Amino acid sequence: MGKTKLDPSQWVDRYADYLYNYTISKVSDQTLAEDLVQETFLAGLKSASGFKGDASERTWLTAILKRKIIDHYRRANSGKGKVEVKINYTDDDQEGDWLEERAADKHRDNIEDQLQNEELGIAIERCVSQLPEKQARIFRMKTIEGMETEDICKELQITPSNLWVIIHRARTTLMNCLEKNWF
Amino acid sequence: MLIDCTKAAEICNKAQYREAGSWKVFKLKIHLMYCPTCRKHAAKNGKLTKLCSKAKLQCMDPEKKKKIKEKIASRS
Repeated sequence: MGKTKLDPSQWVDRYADYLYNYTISKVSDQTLAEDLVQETFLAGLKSASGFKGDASERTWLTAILKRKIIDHYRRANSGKGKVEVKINYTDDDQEGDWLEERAADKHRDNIEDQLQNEELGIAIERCVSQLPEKQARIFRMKTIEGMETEDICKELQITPSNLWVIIHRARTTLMNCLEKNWF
Repeated sequence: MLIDCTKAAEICNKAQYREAGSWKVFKLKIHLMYCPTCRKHAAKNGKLTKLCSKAKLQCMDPEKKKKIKEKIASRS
């Protein structure tokens, strides 16, 4: 297999949404996620000479992003380090209740669902980023941004039947890509 | 009344975005009754739609993308 070459001029179109969704799942803040993705690209440019070409561009950029996210949390926690414990059970007659209430975590199912959805989001984005560029772009415009067919056709100067052929190809590839783990 | 597999796939895709009229959807359903290949494809297509909506995917703000592109271009 040939070595991968970096093409920074295509990074935003190819990987910005993938990296953005990945970051959102880790930091839950849109502005921060955008900034971290930007920092990732700029750090990628800076260390481009060290890229050996063994991994794909996306894998390499994701590795940089992961370090950025860890750095963010390190910075955010650097002034802390103390555990905050809040217990509201002060009355003697409530004493017996708290263990049971803490043990039955009502939010656990929601959290598990949320984690699964985040994982799913990353899996879909990974598959989308592997599509040919035009297919990925049109799929995103139609499915994620929810744009009208007419508007996409105008913007990209394609016919509606052309659009539906591209959507068909994109969706078929995505189904195959996701089939192993999610279908 | 009867449609071929290519037309069925097209209607099926449009239906994922609620852009297929009820008459077309009816014709698709008839096709699916006798075409197992399309039936399988339609089931997977519907599943993909559900997964996409469950994942709540987002796109980065186009303005921000533009700014990042400019920064990359100026530093490349």
